[in-house]
Amino acid sequence: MAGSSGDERAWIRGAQRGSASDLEALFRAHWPLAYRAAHLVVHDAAAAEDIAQESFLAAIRALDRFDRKRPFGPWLHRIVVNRAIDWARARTLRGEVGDEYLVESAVGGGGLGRRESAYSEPVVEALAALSPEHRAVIVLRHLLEYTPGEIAELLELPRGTVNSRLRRGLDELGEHFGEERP
Amino acid sequence: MNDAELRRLVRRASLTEEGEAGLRSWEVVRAAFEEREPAPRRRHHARALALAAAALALVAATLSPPGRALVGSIRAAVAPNAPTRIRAAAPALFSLPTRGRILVNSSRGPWVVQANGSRRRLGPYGEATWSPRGLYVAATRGNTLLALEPDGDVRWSLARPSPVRRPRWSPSGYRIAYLSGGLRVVAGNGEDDRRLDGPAEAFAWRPGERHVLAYGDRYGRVRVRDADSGAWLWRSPGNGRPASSLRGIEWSADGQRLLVRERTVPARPDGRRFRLPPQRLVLYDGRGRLVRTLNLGRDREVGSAAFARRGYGFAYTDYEPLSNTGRVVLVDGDTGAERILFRGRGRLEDATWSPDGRWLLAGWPEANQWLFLRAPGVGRIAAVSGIAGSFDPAAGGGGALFPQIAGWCCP
Repeated sequence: MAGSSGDERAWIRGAQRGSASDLEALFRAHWPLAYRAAHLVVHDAAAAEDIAQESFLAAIRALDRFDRKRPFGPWLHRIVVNRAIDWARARTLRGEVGDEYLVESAVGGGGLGRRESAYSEPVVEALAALSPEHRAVIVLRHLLEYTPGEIAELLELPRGTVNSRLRRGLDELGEHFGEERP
Repeated sequence: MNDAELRRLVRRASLTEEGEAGLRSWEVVRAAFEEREPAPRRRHHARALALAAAALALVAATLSPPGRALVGSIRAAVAPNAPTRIRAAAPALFSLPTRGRILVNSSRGPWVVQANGSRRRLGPYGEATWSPRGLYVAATRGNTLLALEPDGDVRWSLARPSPVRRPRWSPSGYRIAYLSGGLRVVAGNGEDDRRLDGPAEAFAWRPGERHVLAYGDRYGRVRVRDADSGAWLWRSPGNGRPASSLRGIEWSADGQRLLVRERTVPARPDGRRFRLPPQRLVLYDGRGRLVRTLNLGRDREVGSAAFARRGYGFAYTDYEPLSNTGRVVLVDGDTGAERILFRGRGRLEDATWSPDGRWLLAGWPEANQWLFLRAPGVGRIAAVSGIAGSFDPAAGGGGALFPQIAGWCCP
């Protein structure tokens, strides 16, 4: 996971100077949470990979302008979550489908089967019932551990809206788990 | 449920493929980082520079050789029957999945499609092709070769005694090869037009600043030649068998691999029923040495092929008449292993990579759809319906012809 703030500044400085190893350290420190955050918002593993990947590519394009005194995480997370929300909203309009139309190679034989669901956890399935905007604030609060004020700043929302979405998301998730208890 | 409970559940949730996704994405991120040219840092205010003695001038990153294309695994879903169309396709082309512009040749002339989905028809021309950086378009109209601005303004035109076909701009931007009574080359400004050789089955410029053309002669041999000096660089040998027919030639991005689509003409039909001649994809290295041959047999026809933007992996489309099934297949550049990315009813055409190499576009005339296939390892398709009518809006009652994808260029 993420290193100390001193490590991170050194990685950014190194990456700005062209060090691929420092970029790799930065990537390894931040990829897991970026991917998870995207996945929990969009509920599509392939799209989550794309979003997290594109967010890092956007970060590379802006790397020279990045102020090392600021932490990298919030900057990256803002890109990830906003892209994830946009993707989730626009999915129907784009007409994207999942991998049900893709075919595994027949080379090498073997059986063909449906991929395992990424929704191995009840909480992930429960989040799927929320809107993308609600999922985003839940992810920012409980996965990435931002305060409501920081979330409001990241998503450029009024703080009251953030609090309202957190409360409603918690209530709906609570109902979901309440129904499943024996 | 309280905050602490939810936090515990969210943070402990396990997600499949997180590790594999990370490995794939790191390769993409690393490749983009290696191609980037760092900009010099701006000077900060004096107080911010109090501890810095020198300006932060960055040395331009040394470009490293292109990395190998990743071919990750494709998650499988069994489709008991090849689909006839993607049901959830977008009803129209609202946007491209990534940056760049697509050139399309339709029955009404060439069109440029922007990343936001907007389209502009260039005019009443035949075939069109991008210049290497998308600044111009070469197009044909009867016996005339033209160079156009992307908004359709004509920069120059060149009249020939014979019909002009298949213009192809060199990677340098300073030459255009085309067919008109033979294989001809003209300078990018329309001057110094001259004949290079007789009729060529297929031809392609080698990437790089030197003007090298690979083309197939009427005997099915591959010739690689310096178009400026006329010097032969290499030729594939004749083999004494019935002539092969070359259907297409593609160069890898670094110019070190040449992919040739061949069809061997049989000496006689097989029994009473005429069978398709065997199809082959032949891979040569930059010196003309054979790397690999993919024999596709008699039952499949190769439609198109395209190297990935990096490395030696490539995609091709093929079609099996007996089952009326088309496929998009990806070939690993290192091992030659094949993976079927998509299978559907009818032919699939014009395999074309996005400029960033992350999407593969194919045309699907039977479904009247375009398929945007996400680069391997990330299973996604974005499909768009109504393609024929988008580029021939005047045709009614389904009379529009499906257009040809002529290139996906630069953002």
